[in-house]
Formats: sequence, C-alpha cells, structure tokens
Amino acid sequence: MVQEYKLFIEGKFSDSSTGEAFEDINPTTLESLATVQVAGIGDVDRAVEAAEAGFLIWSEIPAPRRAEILLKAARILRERKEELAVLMTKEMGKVLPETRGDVQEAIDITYYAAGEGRRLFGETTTSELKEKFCMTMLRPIGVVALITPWNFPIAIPAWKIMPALIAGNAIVFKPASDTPLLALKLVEILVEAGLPPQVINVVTGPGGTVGKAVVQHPRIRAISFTGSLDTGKWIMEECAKTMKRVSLELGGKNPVIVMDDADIELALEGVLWGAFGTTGQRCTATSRLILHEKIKEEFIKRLLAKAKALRIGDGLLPETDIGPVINKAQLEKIERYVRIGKEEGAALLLGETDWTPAFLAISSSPRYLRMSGLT
Amino acid sequence: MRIAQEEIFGPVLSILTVSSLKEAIWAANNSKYGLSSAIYTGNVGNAFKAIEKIDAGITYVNAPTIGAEVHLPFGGVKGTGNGFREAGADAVREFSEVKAVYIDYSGRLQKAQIDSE
Repeated sequence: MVQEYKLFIEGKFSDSSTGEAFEDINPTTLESLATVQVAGIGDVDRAVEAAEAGFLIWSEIPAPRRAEILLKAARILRERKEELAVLMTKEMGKVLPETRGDVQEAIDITYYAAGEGRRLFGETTTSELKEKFCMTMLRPIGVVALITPWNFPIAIPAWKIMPALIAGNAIVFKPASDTPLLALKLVEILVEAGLPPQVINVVTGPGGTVGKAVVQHPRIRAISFTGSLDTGKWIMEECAKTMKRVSLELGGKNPVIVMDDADIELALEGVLWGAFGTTGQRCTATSRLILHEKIKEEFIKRLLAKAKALRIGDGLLPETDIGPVINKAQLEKIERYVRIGKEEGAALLLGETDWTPAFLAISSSPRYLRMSGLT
Repeated sequence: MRIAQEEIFGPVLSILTVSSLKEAIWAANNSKYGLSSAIYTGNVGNAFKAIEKIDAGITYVNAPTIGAEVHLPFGGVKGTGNGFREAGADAVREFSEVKAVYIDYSGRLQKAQIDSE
C-alpha cells in the first residue's frame, strides 16, 4: 500500500477539496511510489490566504533571523543528503551521483541565501538639494508563487524558495507532478528548521488546473516559473492581466563549439556529459554540437564509441551511467523528434530504445545522436 | 531544421559542421534560445571572441554546457527568459521590490528640479 500525500497548507498536511489523487511513478520500475492529492481552486485560495497570514509574520522577522532558519534547513539537508538522493533517483530516475549533486545544489543555495540575510543592501546617494538624504531599500513582494519542473526536483525549488524566503516573501509552491515527493520533503525540512507555519504552502496537481489557478490568482504578486517556452509565454500573458511580476527560465538549445585546436579528449568528455548526463533532461543540456570540419570525422567516431559504451539502466546501481526518460509523454516527444530529424534528412548515428541497442548509422551532415531509456 | 532548433529535452544531440570560428558563432546564435553555451579551444583569442559574441546567458570555456554554481547568475537571453536571473546576488532581487527614499531635513519646502538651480 503506497502512502497518500496531502496538500501542505497552513503549516500542516490537509485534504484537498477535489477528492482526487495522482500517482507518483518511479520511471525505472514503473511502480507507484505514492499517490498525491490534486488541489482544487478552493485549495489554491486557502493556500494564498495562509500565505498572506504567513507573510505578515515572516516579513516582520529581521532578515538575519530568517537566515538562521535557512542555515538550520541547510544543515538538515546535508544530514539527509543520501536519503533524499536515493528517493530522488526513485522518483525522477537520474543516477545517484547526479541526485546527490541535485541535493548538494539545494544545500549550496540555502547556505548562500542565508548569507544574503546580512547583505540585503540598499544604496545611498546625494540629493540635488541641500539637507536632503536619498537611499534605496529592499522590500519583500508579498505572496509569491513558484512553479517548478521535475528535472531538478529539489535544486530548482530551492533556487526559488530560499531567495524568496530570505527576501521576506511568503510562498505558494506548485511542484511538478512527476516529482512531488522531493518538493514536500524540502518543505518539511524548512518547517522542521523553524519556518513559521503558513509561510510556505504546497498545492499539487496538474499545471492545466492547479498551475493555472495559481497563475491567475489575483492576490499572488509574482510568479517564478521554470519550464517550457510555450507555457512561459502563456504565463506571461496571464500575469499581464493581474499585473504580476513574472520571472521565466525557459528552454535551451545549447551549443558546444569544438574548434580544431581543442583538446579533443577533453571536448569529448564534455560533450558526452553535457548531452547525455541527466539523460539530456537539463535546460542547459548540450543539444547542438558545432564541430570544426577538420576534426569532424575523428571526433564523431570517438564520440560514438563513448556514447555506445554508456550504460542505460537503474540509477541506483553503481554501473549505470544514464537513467530512464522521465515519463511516457517525454519518451514519445523524443521519438517524435527523431522521426522529424529523419524526415528532414538528418542521419541517425546511434539509437537505443527500450534498453535494447537498436541501430547505429552514419551518413551526411548535419547529424544527430540519440539515446533513449525506457519509461 | 527543427531537429537542430527545437528543444527536445532528451538525449538527442544535433551535429553541425563549420569551417571557421565565425561560422561556428553564427551557428551557435542561430537559435531562438540563449541559455548555455560552450567552446572548446586551445586558443585564448578564440575563447574570448566566443565569450563576446555568443548570445547566451552562460558561456563555458573548455567545460560542458552544464554545471552552474549557485553564486553566479543563472538565466538566458532571447526565448530562454524575460531578463531575470536566478541564483547569485540577483536571486534576492528577483524576489524583492526596490523602494527609493528621500529624507528632507532642511525644515522647508524644497522643490526638486525647480529649487535645484
């Protein structure tokens, strides 16, 4: 019997109004890790109300005192790093060394944000008039909403949560539906560290309903979103209607240029890690290799050999280099783009499907490599 | 080609070949996105040209496109974002409002732009 997770509102786990729940699937085993409740519009309202109450408390606490709570959270994260990394590999699929790195990134940003608690500097400057003093100061925004993706289940939430908290804001947090457990663990750790109840509230469920309710909510003052370009555009349009601040971290098609004077082995290692680390599921993943023609043949030959040697499998096993793709929709998207590439005349140099080596082919440029795991 | 332009978010690498650094930088910038980028070269001049000319929020020299550290700003140009940066000192700004404060201790009405001449 898998555990059912509730929404986290007003400092406690509470039942959603919808009575619905979704499965949190381990992409490696396809087993259900947990069921997680789907928030309704009324639950988003409750979360915003709680956050408004939390804001009144939190924004009154001096920033260096807020920092102490963050420091404690960082220490708890560090103590629980291995446990969180193992859970993350089960929930998201990437290999253990990478999930450890993900937790480490959350630890790093938490320490960093805590340090900023004594550096919320304004500026002073001279006035154009006599006996007049001019300065700037920072103030929190109020209730902010954070919408995060599944590829860095704890690092990206921490990148948003910790700076928002140190600045004095209260939070409504909508994590990705593929990785709600790590999001809830992070919030539990903050509460354990002494964050006043109501300062952070978690609403889980689909972007199309819960995310939409958050984005359109008139009393949320800012949205920070990491995800796709299309969703980002939609959010920006919606935020115009309620005059929310919106910060967007969207897609990438990140190039690596390899010149003919490069250290080839170094470049090969970098391209391999950049393109296939995290199964390519990073917004900064290397997705375009721009090769100098003088080294093209040798580079591609050696890259293929290295790529073929990568072991796809269960991220908990030490011999695994690459975990699975997060879900069926993503796998289908990859397959679709491979078809598009072929139709456009690109040559498929390497492909693996469903754990079985499929085919290896080389032809004219531009070309692409592909590896896909199973979902 | 869509395969070399659209974000797939998976282990797919498009390979393009070029004959010069200028062409390489043009190819790198031929994208609606501008998040991370990298150049591998043993020539310091090539490295600085790439740093200066690649339209991206992040450029790595002799290191892969992944590997951001939390005390530097993270974010991109063009379709990657709307100008905000996460992490680094900018992270706090992302979640703060700036207020300008004027304190007049002259004890009389002073009019900006008018009494300042």
